Amino acid sequence: MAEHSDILIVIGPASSPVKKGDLAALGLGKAASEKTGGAFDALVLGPHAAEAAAEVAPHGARTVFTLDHPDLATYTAEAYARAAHAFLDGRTYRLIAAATSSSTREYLPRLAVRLDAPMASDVLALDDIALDDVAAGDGTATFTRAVFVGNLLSTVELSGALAIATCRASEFDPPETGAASPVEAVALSDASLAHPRKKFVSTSQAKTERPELTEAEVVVTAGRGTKGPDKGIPLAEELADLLGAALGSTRAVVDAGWLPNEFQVGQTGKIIAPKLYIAIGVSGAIQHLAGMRNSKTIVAINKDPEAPIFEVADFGLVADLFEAVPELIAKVRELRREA
Amino acid sequence: MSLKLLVPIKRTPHRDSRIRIAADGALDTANLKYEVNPFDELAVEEALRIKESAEPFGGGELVVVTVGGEACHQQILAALAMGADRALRVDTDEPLDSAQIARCLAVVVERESPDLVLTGKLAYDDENGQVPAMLAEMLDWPQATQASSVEILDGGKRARVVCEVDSGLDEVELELPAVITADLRLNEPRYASLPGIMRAKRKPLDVMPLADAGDIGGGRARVLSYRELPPKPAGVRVESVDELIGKLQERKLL
Amino acid sequence: MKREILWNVPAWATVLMYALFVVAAAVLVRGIWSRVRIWRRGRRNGETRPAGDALRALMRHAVAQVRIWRSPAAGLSHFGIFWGFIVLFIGTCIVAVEEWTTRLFGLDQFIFHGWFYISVSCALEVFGLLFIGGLVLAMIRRRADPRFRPLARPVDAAILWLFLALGVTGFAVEGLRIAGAAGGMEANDFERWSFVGWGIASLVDGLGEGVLRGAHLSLWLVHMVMSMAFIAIIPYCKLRHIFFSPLNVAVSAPRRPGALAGVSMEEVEETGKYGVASPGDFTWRQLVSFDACTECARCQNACPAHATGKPLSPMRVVLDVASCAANGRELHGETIAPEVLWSCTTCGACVAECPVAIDQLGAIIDMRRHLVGEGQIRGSEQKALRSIAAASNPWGLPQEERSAWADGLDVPTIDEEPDAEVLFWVGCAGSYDARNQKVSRALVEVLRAAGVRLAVLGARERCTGDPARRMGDEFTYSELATANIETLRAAKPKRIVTACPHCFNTIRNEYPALGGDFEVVHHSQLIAELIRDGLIPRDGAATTSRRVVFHDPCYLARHNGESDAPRDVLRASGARLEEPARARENGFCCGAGGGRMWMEEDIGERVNAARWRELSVVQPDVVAVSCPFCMTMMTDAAGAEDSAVSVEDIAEVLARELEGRTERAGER
Repeated sequence: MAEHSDILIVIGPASSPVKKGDLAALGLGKAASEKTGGAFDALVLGPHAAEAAAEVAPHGARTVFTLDHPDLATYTAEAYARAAHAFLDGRTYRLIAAATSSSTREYLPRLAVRLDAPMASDVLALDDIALDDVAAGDGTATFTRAVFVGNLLSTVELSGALAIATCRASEFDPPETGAASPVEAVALSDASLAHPRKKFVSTSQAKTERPELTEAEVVVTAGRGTKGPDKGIPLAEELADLLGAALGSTRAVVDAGWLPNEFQVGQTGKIIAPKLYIAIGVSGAIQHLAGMRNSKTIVAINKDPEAPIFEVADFGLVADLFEAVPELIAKVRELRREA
Repeated sequence: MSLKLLVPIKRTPHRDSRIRIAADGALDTANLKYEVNPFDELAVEEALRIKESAEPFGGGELVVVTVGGEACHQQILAALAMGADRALRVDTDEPLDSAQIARCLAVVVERESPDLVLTGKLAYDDENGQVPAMLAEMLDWPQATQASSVEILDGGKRARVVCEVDSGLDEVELELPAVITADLRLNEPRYASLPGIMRAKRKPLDVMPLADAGDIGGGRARVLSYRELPPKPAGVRVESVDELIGKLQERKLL
Repeated sequence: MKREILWNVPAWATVLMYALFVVAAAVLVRGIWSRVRIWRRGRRNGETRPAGDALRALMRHAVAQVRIWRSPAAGLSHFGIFWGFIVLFIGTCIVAVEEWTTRLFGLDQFIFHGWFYISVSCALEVFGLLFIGGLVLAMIRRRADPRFRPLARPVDAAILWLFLALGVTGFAVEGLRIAGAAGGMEANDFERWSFVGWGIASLVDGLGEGVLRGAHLSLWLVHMVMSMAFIAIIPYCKLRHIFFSPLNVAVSAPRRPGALAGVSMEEVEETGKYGVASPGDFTWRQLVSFDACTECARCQNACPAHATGKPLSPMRVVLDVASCAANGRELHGETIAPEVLWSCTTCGACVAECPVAIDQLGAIIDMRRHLVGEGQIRGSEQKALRSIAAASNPWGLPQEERSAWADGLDVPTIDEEPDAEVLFWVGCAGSYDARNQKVSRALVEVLRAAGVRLAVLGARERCTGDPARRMGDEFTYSELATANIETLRAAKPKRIVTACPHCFNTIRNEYPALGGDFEVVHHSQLIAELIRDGLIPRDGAATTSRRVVFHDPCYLARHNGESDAPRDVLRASGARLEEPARARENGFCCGAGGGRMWMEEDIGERVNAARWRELSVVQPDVVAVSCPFCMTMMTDAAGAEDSAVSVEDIAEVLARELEGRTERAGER
């Protein structure tokens, strides 16, 4: 059924509701299938495959396959790679892709070995995909990737009849919804998928309501200008919670005992590069800048127009934080309510 | 029994270096300083700790391996300076893709039969992170990636690993041999100082010609070119909170 | 006029005395020999000390004991004990000589009679009193302040009591002898010159001869046994400094202040050893120095790390090394933990304070080297070292951004202007750190106002290596230093000026050992010179009412003895200069030296906060600094206190003033 021009988007372990990133990966499937002139299918793996498939169905896939197996109940890379491989037995695709996640990062390479196909990790875009000679299996697919901690872009070419990729979900949008695609449950033989030498023990959710500093996409940092735990620090905390951000601090704030050590961003603290970095009352000492200068967007609110933080800020607001931050909080709340 | 640990390492540009692009889209490697890939360094450190903790049940041996040219010598020395016992370099100046490197390593694993392969979760330069899982698959070994803690149990028969996953932490148990990859929080590597490097020069270093690895297949993933990120717009001063919100919305950040 | 030697001392007591003396001397020699054996295990590194040098040092530290007088009370106390002891000892020797000459040659008398006897006796009285006075002062001092009894061990007090008992029984024995001598006091009127003994004799005169003789003999025995005990215990307690301190002063390796001892790359390659892992890795000279410690705790009391609750005491380190050397215990780890060694700011206060020329700082660096060699350097300090090695600056910033500070100033590189009068060595902080970039700019303004033609190295300037060296990474230091020396040799600067005392110190004191001899001045010195030459107008009357307190940088004031120049600059700016409690070479560190700038400070109080408090006492408007590290630390401290006091470099204080003058001139 599937052709040399078809694309498969793998979603697994699928959750319900489906992760936004997994839906975004369908966007790559659609774009790629338009380039190849084929269609894209979705393969939804895991115990929640059926519910997830219902959410995937309206996004334009030709067929949404679901696959569950007792060995997929808890996630292991070995079992998921084997499951996907078993599904692909007798099916041909030009590109197999999945949204980058801690899971796909580790089972797609295993799948690539099983299928003897080259792979590109965490691609930002599909530049081109061609199949020059179907019979000989000659083809190329080129992707754009970020390398060197996001400081450079590279163009990667995968050659052969089949390419495998994980894609950065934030760079893609889910295809528009329409009529639901057919959902087809795939049955596997009873053979074991689990690796006999691996045992899943337990999983624990990230413990805090606030994300970890080093992993957060948004960080709100309180500097010395916040004047203390009974003054500006609660404002920073409120803004962080509103934005689902991690809370950071400068060395001065830690030294003053306003926040514990683990909040410190900087050369002697944590080195981070979130998408959005909001510095409140931070002057921008070099040792602090060393810890956050690679953040994608930096916002600085400080009443001292000379503060060095403005040198690295994308958006600088010279204002008294005790006025500006409450205003910001109020207006963001308002926006949320409207949305 | 003694525990044998194999740590594949990669030579990567120093994390402080400003990477430039030559006119033809290749990396400008002139004046570039290199180091052991920081994630691999975590793996070396963890292997050293495992080796130290294995003293009571027969100790261990730590072998570092790299695939690359003579230029990798300095990084091999750094790993030896940290405390690895010996090193092996699969000699090639060709740029290999992940599958080819994994294939070389699989040959090395067959030759060395380690109980555990420990390496970084990805390389700082290309950020592919494919080799460890590919190697595990080629060997049909279990794997645990992005480890934040590794505990060797039963005198080296099993490993209990806490892995950093998107949703939190997963704990898995592996029967050795297995592949484990190191994440940032696993440990804090020791410093490979120059005196250590001098001492390391006396440790054994084998060079294995690439041909000895047999057929590793053709390279099917290659970097065509590099380019700079689109320039970051110059920072601007905003006059009000409203303007700030507007700018953030433009960048889809709110 | 003479006295009877060993009056009232029966033959058995005399024999006992000499027997005990032989025993005491044997115990003494054994103790000294055991230390000598330890020293012999030390490294020989071929260092030599010229005899003239050693002699001068001996005069200064062992005879004049100038360092002790840094504390007047201690100076006086030790002066009394030391000179009292020396003169009493000489007196005892004269008595012994008299006894043996007369005995061996059957003479009636030799030299100890007549006026010689009278003057020696009188001198002994004076110095005996001085001895007792010194002891009493020492005891009072110990009681007054726990800092003066750092180890608080009973044995330390016991030693003083032993000395006091020696002094007092000595006088008592003398008094009893005068009172009981044949013919009584009337017949021995010349003994009046022994005025203390005479006084005591007057008190007991009239007691029966039997009583006097009995008391005399008993006290004489007590005095004699205590003296022998004293001799015997010298090498086994801090009293060993009597021998070892002068020895150390004579043999300690001569070094430029501010320069650390180098490491031979060849030796490391050959032996595989780097730094000090066990006491035997110290040089024998260093091992001698650790035995010279008097446990006076001056180093500890001056140490900024110790003062702020860090685990470091330089004295403790010295004593620990000495005891490990003796009992073979492991040096690193439990005895001297890494945190102890990493706490050091390398401010050098310990070395400057030490009255017996111990180089605690050198020892700490030697042990840090071992930690680094073993890879035992973690966290942010490891990151800084890696960055220094890879990017030539501690923040890992790109070398091509090194000149960003000068944007718009049009500062030429030395290639563009090879005839420049001075080469401005900007330093990493002055190049990359936003606050210190302003200092660099202010300095350029000031120098240009004085018509100085300056140039910079631009992207070819690298970290001098100071932080790497002081963190114990000698190899990164030597790579950087060698590269810089090569660059400077090619650039052939007439003169180098830098606003960083660390760069200044390293170029001035450490590069010569690697063959780099360049004339380098600190910006305070150059500006002071320009003021002296009239190139920068000195303001007649104070034009500003700003109260300025100057915080001396350790690497300028203490390591390089320059504390006038920055003050000259501040005075010329018209500021009202205030002095903090600890200033100049006695200054208190900001906390950033020795790589501490890049380390977490999570034990105890922050050093900069402690210093800030001290500076705040004089209620300044401005805290003036002349070092980029001090700038960062003081600015941080000001911020933590939410203080309105501004922190400015001396060049900024002056530049601001010059600007004001130009404006005022314009208004006129």
